[in-house]
Amino acid sequence: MKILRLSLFNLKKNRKEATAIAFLTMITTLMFSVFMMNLTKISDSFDESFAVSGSPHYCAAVKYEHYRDEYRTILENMPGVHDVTEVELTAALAKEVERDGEILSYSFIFMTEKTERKIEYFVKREQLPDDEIIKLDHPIWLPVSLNITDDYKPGDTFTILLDGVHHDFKIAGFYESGLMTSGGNGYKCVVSDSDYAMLGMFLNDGGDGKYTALYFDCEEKFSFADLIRRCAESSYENIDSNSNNFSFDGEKGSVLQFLNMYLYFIAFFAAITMLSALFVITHRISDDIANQMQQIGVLEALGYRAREISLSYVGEYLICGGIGSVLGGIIALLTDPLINIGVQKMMGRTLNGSVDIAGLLIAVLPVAALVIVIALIKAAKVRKYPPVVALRKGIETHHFGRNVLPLEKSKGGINLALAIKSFIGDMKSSLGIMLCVIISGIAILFCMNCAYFFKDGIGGLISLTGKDITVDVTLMNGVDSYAVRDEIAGMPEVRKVFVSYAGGLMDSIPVKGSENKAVVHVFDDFRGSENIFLTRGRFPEHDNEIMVTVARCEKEGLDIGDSVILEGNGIENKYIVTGVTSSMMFNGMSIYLTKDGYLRTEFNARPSGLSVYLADGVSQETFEQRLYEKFGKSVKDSINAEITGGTLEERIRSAADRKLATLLSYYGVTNADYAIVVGNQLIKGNSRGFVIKEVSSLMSLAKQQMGSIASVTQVAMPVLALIIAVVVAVMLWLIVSMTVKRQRRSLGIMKGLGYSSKDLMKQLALKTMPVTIVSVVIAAVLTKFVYSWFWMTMFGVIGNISVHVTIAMSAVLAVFCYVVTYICAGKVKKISVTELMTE
Amino acid sequence: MASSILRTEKLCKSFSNGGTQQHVIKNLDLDIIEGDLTVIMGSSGSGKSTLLYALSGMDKPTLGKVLFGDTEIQDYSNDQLAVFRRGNCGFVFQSVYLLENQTVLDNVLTAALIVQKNSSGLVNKTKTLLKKVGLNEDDWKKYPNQLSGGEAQRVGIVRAIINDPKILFADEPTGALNSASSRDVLDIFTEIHKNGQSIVMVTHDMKTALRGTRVLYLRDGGIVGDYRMLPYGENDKQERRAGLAAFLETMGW
Repeated sequence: MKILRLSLFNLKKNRKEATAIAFLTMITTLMFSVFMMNLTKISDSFDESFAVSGSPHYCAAVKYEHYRDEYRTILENMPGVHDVTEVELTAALAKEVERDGEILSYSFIFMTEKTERKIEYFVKREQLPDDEIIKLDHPIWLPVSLNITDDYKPGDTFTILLDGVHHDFKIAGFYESGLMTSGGNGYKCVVSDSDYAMLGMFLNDGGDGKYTALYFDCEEKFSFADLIRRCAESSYENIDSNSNNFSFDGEKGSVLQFLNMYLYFIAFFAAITMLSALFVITHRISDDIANQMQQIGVLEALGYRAREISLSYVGEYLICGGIGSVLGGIIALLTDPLINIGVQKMMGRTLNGSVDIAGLLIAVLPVAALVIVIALIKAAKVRKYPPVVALRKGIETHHFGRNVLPLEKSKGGINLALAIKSFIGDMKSSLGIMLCVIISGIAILFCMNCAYFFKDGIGGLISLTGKDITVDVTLMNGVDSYAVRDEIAGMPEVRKVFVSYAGGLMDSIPVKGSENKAVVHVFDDFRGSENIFLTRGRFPEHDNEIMVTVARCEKEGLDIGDSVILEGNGIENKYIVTGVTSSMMFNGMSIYLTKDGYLRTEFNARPSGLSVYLADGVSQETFEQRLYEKFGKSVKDSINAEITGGTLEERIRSAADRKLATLLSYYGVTNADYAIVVGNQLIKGNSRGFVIKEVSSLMSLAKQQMGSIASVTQVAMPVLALIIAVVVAVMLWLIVSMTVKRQRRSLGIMKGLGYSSKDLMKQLALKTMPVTIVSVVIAAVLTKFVYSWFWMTMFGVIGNISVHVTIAMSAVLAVFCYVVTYICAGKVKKISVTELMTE
Repeated sequence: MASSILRTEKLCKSFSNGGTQQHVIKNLDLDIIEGDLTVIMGSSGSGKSTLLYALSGMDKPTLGKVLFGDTEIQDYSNDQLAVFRRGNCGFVFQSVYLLENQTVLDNVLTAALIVQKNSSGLVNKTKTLLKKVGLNEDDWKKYPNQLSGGEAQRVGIVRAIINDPKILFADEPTGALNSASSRDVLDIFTEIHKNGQSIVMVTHDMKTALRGTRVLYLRDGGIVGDYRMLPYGENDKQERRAGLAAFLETMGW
């Protein structure tokens, strides 16, 4: 009881400091609780929603025309594989969706309800009433993720654009799906049998079209590479580039990647706050013991045992640390529903709303325990002082070393000289401040670099794609790509144009000895690229040279001078690595070849289109308009074109062109002629008039997939930086408060000597500057490594900090520390010189 | 005729104590004459130290004026008072108040460098003064805890006069010293005074008061007695003592 009384007495005396420590503990517990409660919750929720859907854990999908029945037998005979179900589905990669006049881009997998029920339970969530669904012409069931993340509602019109044709579906409802529920892996949609058949007609190019999918479960970790290898051995056909695979782990990784990233950020920030709190506590206990030495002596003389006195200090921190931890826990509990909404939105899965009490306790208890343990260790110092020593203010421990920086040799102002003297004399606490400022500095600089990176939305991410984001013009079969290229190059709206050969997911080539297929990017001359940057080495120049990504180098131990063997069309070709680049697209598994190098492996390849770089200030719409004026409408646009023209002949030609476009686009027709007799007039035409098949850009897909990440990061990072800045300010306030209290006598004397409060405030602020400046410089250097480690770990690319932002923010941080310390040092104003003299 | 260096008009100083006002100095009019060693005496609680702090700009009066020459300082802000003190006043305290984490030399220089620029002249002056008060080179590097009370007070005096203050205030400078140390310290004060330094000193010790040229007696916040003596050493010791004793007796000391 008497210990508690002593603790309460100390707390009452140091109310503000105790509140600040409780605040730091609260913030730590809050952030740590959010981390702990959500880390397991999101993982469990994903597992639960996956289990609810009844989805198998794996799916290997092979293009319909490349599938063989023996593949299923091979799969069934693989170790641990069971419950294999064979279904048919149709894939649609990067298709445009119109929503409220805005064009978005999604990848889809379509299947019928009958097929869906073969592989999953088809658990319906929010939906229209059954009687309304029956009346719908084109009902579509979407995975719940599109309801949660993109806010689609039952009854909304869901317009998919295929080859320029608007296909309006009505959303019947949403259902729980296991695999294929995210932007990265595509959204699995359930449509009616008739719509499925219709979609099949539209989707027959490249990676689009029918697939035979083998859904299955496996007792052990399944290797798709092994399956492809076994299939190739059996059928002598490498189906790697004609297949896709999906797995529980892949889906979970894709869905939770960014959530986990944010959670680990929060945990990192919790660690920073904790460190600051512990530093302040150790500093304060030492200070309290030093300041209250005589009081300790008196208490000891009165019969209090050293253990009891030290426990009174521990009690103080037990109370404020306990209050902070409990408050942090309570706030975490209260804000949990709000956080759930955000998490659910990012996750696209129904989140288990129950509170993870275990996670909360795991967060709260260690924080409180750590505070107590540190307090116990530091407070044990009291035992060193028997009553007499304590009454003599621990004089035994006084040590007067060499007088560092004697004033007679000082240069510059006296305030600076005294500040530096004080800094040197208080090196121990300076080291503590240093550690806190370094870690906080890294966090702030990291956040601000991230915010700067996302300042233009997805612009920053685009720069890491390792791919030029151009306007892609797909030409009709038989059109001379090089001739069209030359014509387009002459347009004032165009800076330059290249004939493209590859660059899509379906243009991937197996790499010998690697689990990761390579998505190929082809350039005649890489020096002409604008978004492919060398990390080291040089671009490929000859047909036996290759450039690989940093991620592939890390994963497969490659470096410049090593060889990579590409397996295509039943042959193997060796390439020498000449350069390394940074690319986050396609999981960083891209490779870069010259045109001749690509043709060595893919000898049947033909130009796939043109990559157009627009002149500054020219929009895609303007370019398209000019392009159609020059080459006529694209097939895609002709399908939807209105029949125009003043004369009968013009209207007939317009209608005939639309018919031709439909034939070319939907029915696989490559060439067609028409002749129409009107009265005695013969109107003739052919499909060779069509040059342009489609104009598109990857930008809309990038916006859909990365836009939300960019906007969340853009906002979240400065907010996190601000929180850390508040923590730094609180820590500095506590340090300065303790310093003022400890040096009250000296400061009072100085005031008596004629030092103004401003002089003393300046001294106290300047005292922290050497350590702040050094810490900020160290933090800036370390941020470079932390930032690049983060980008490499998360996205497989080299992230470079912005030197300007880092220097500017470092300066801001140093000035911030100075200003905060100066303001906090305003406490010296309260020191009354007369009170001190008359004590 | 000697001029006034410091003057008060209707000076009042009150303290609030649990809702009640305690009037320590009441409507006090006072002239401190340049070149005097003015001693302020009085019984405990008479307001000696309060008056000293109000005169020296260490504290602000509640009412009334404090004029340093023609400059009124009673309305100065704390920082203005600090600047005023550093340029015009020196202080010697009973408890010395040396900065514990600084050497003897640095303690003096800390006071000097807020007013003057660092120069070899200033350092030499400091060292000369320290030598003059009997502190040798070995003592300069010592920390306050390594000094005796008398040595510490001598450092305090050097620190107080290093900026050549217009007026030197001393609050019971020998209060914590033994008689030998007290004598040494008072000799220093006398020496300084002889060189023309105006000094205002609070004391309750008659031996200390004997060094003064003017003795003011304070009671209930007002000056009730003003006794003038010749400078120390210029008249008979016994005569001085008897004169002061008689004055103090009339004051009821």
